[in-house]
Amino acid sequence: MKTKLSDKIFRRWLPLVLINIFVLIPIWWTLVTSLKQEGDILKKPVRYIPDPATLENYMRAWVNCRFDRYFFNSMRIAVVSVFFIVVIAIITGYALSRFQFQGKNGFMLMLLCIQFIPHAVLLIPLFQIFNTMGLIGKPLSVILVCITFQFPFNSILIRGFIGGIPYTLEEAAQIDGCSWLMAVWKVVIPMLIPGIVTTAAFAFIGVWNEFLFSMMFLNDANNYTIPIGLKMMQGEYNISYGALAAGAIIAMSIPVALFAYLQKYLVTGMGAGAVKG
Amino acid sequence: MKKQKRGFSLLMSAALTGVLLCGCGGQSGTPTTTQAAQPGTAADGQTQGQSQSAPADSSEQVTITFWDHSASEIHTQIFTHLIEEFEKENHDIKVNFVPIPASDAKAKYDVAIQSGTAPDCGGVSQYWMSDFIVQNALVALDDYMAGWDNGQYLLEMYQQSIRDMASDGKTYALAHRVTLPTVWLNNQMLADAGKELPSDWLEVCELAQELTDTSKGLYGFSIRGGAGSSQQFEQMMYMHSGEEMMFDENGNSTVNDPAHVELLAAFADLYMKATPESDLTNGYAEMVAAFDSGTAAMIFHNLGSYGEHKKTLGEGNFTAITTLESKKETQAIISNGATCNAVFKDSKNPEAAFRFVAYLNEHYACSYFNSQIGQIPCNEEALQDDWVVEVTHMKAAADAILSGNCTLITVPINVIGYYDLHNNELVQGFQQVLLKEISAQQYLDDWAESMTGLKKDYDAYLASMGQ
Repeated sequence: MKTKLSDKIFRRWLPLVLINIFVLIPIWWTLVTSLKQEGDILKKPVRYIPDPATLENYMRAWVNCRFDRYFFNSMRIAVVSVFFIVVIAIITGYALSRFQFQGKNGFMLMLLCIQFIPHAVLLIPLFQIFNTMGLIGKPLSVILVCITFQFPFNSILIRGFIGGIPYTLEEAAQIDGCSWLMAVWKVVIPMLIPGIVTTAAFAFIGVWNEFLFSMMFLNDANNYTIPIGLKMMQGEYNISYGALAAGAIIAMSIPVALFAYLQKYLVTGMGAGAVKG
Repeated sequence: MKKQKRGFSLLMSAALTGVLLCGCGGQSGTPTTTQAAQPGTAADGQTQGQSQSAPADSSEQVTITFWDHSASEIHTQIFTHLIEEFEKENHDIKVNFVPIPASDAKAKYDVAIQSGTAPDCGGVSQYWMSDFIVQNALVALDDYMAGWDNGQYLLEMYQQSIRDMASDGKTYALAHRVTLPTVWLNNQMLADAGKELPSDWLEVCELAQELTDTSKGLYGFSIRGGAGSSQQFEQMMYMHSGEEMMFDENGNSTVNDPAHVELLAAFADLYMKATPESDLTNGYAEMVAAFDSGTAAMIFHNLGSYGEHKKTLGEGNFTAITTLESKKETQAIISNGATCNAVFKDSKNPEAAFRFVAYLNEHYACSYFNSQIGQIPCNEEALQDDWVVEVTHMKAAADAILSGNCTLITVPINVIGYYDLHNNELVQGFQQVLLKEISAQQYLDDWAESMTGLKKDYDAYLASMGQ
C-alpha cells in the first residue's frame, strides 16, 4: 500500500527533522563558539557564523589546558575499563541466561537495585578502601570503580542478547566434539558481536564521562581525565568559553566517531536483543 | 566434576573475601608527600615553629603538595612560574602542584581531610575555615610567623578576621587576596541616557529603572537570583545600612535592620521591570554574561570579574564602583572572606609547606599573582605597586585599605552553619521575594532568626570548648 505524501512528510520526515534540530543545535552552537575569538563570544549582535574564525581555542585547550594529556588518560582508562566490563558482563550474562542456580532471581534483583544507589554515597568508603590499598592518586582506582559500577547493567543487557541465541547451537557444537567452553567461544561469541558492541558502546560512554570519582581519587594533574579538564576551565571568577567549547568538541569527538562507525552493529544489536530463541 | 566445581567456587569465594578484607584493613594510607630520608637541621632558620615530624634536612629534597582550589588556565600558568622561582631559591623543596576545579574543591578537601590525605598546603576560601578548624585539619601558623620577617607586610585587618574565625584566636591561614564588592556599570549606556554615577544603593535602583528600555532588549540591572544570590545581597545591604555589627549586644542578628528591608524591597521591585525575567535563576556566569553582552547596564559582583569585562567590553567602557554611601555615613569594606593559603595537619613537612605559603604571600609572588588576575593583594608592599596605582578602581580600593580609616566588616562566616544556611535556604527565599511570594520583611526576619540560632549554637560550642 503506497504511503501518502502527506503521511511521509508529517509522520516521518517532519518529526525526524524537528528531533534532529533539537539535538544538533547545542552541538552546532558549541562548535561555532569554539571557532570564535574570546572577545566575540558574548558580544551582541550574536554572530551565528564565526567571523573571523579561529582555531586558537583548540590550541589553548590542547596545549595550555593540557587536553593532550587528559585525552590520553581518558582513552587509557576507557579502553582498559571497557575491556574488563565486557568480559565480566559476558561471563555474568551467560550465567544468568543459561544456568539455573539458587538465588538467581535475587542476584538479578540485586544487580538492578544497585543502579539506584547514588555514587556520591559510596565516595568516602571507597576512598578509605582505596587509600588503604595505596590506590589513591592512581588511575587504577578509577578503572576499578568504573568496572564495578558499569558491569551490573551491562550484564543484564548482555543476558538479553545471549538469550536470543538458541542453546541448540551450543549443543550441536558439543555433539560435534567441542567442549562446553569451546562451544561458547566458537559459537556464542561470534553471534554475540552486536551485543558486545552495544555493551561496549554504553560502557564506553559511561566511563568516558565519569567525573566524580576521577575528581576525588586523582591527586596528580598528569592523571586527570577530560571531564576534569573541562571543569577546570570554569574558574572561580572567569569562564574560558572558547577553550571550554573547544574542549567539549574534543571530548565528544571520540564517542561520536565511535558511534558513527559502530552504528550498524548497534542497530542490529538493539533488534537482536529483543528476540528470544 | 561436581567436586571440582565446588572446590573452585570455594577458592574464588575465599579469594574475593581476602581482597575485601584487604581493602578494609588498617590505616596505612597513601602519603601525599615524600618524607626526608633522614632527620636534619631546621630549614633556613626562619621558621622554628612546632612540628611533630623531624625538621626537613636541607641536604635532602622534600616534596610537598599544593592544591589550588580555584584552578583555571591562567592560575596554572601563574603557579608554574611561581613554583619555578621558589624552587630556584629553595633547592631542598620540590612543589607538586595540583589544580582543583573551583566548584568541587571544598568536596575534595572534605574527602581528603576525612581520610587523612589532605595535601601539605593549599588555597582555601576563608568561609571554609570554620569547617576545617572544627575538624582540626589546619596547622596554627603563629609560631612559624614569629620567625618570618616579611610577615609584617600582611594586611593586619584581614589577618585579624582570620584569627576571629578560630575559637582560640590563632592564625590558621594567611590571607592572600581579596575581591571587593563592586557595582559594574556600562559607560556607554550611562552616557546614552545622560545620567551620572549613582552615589548610594537607592540611586542604583533608580538608575536601573531609568536605563531600562525593553523595546531594545536593554535592562538597567541584572540580578543574581540563583546560586550565591543571598551572599551577594548580604554584602549589598550592609554596604547600604553601614551597620558594622553582625549581631547586637543580645546576640541577635542585624540582618533584618530596617535599612536592609528598605533596600531589599526596592531591589525586588526591579525584577521584571528593570531586569530580564531569567534573572530569577542567574548564577555568576549568566549575570556576568548579561553585563558583558551589553544587555544589562549594571551588575553587582566583585573585582574578580574585571578580566571578563575587559576582554569583552574593552578597557574604558565600564566603571567599577567599589564605594557607595551608607546610611550611617561610614566607610566600610564588606568582606565575605579572603582567599587564603593554609598548611594542613596531615602534612609530613609542615615547615617546608609554610615556607612555600609564606613565599606566595610575600611581595613578589603576591603582586605577580594578583596583577595577572586583577584581585587585591593582601600585602602592603604589593598594594603600592605600579599595576595597582595605574588602575583607577584598584587604586581606590588600595587607598581605602591602606588609609587606616576604613573598617573591615566580615560577614559571619565564622559561625558554623553559615555557608549551609545560604546554600540550602536563603537562595530559595530570595527568589520568593523577587516573585513577591513573601515580603522583604518576612524573608529578612526569617533569615535573622536562623542566623541568631546558629550564633547561639556556635557560642554554646565555644563555651563547651572552654573559650
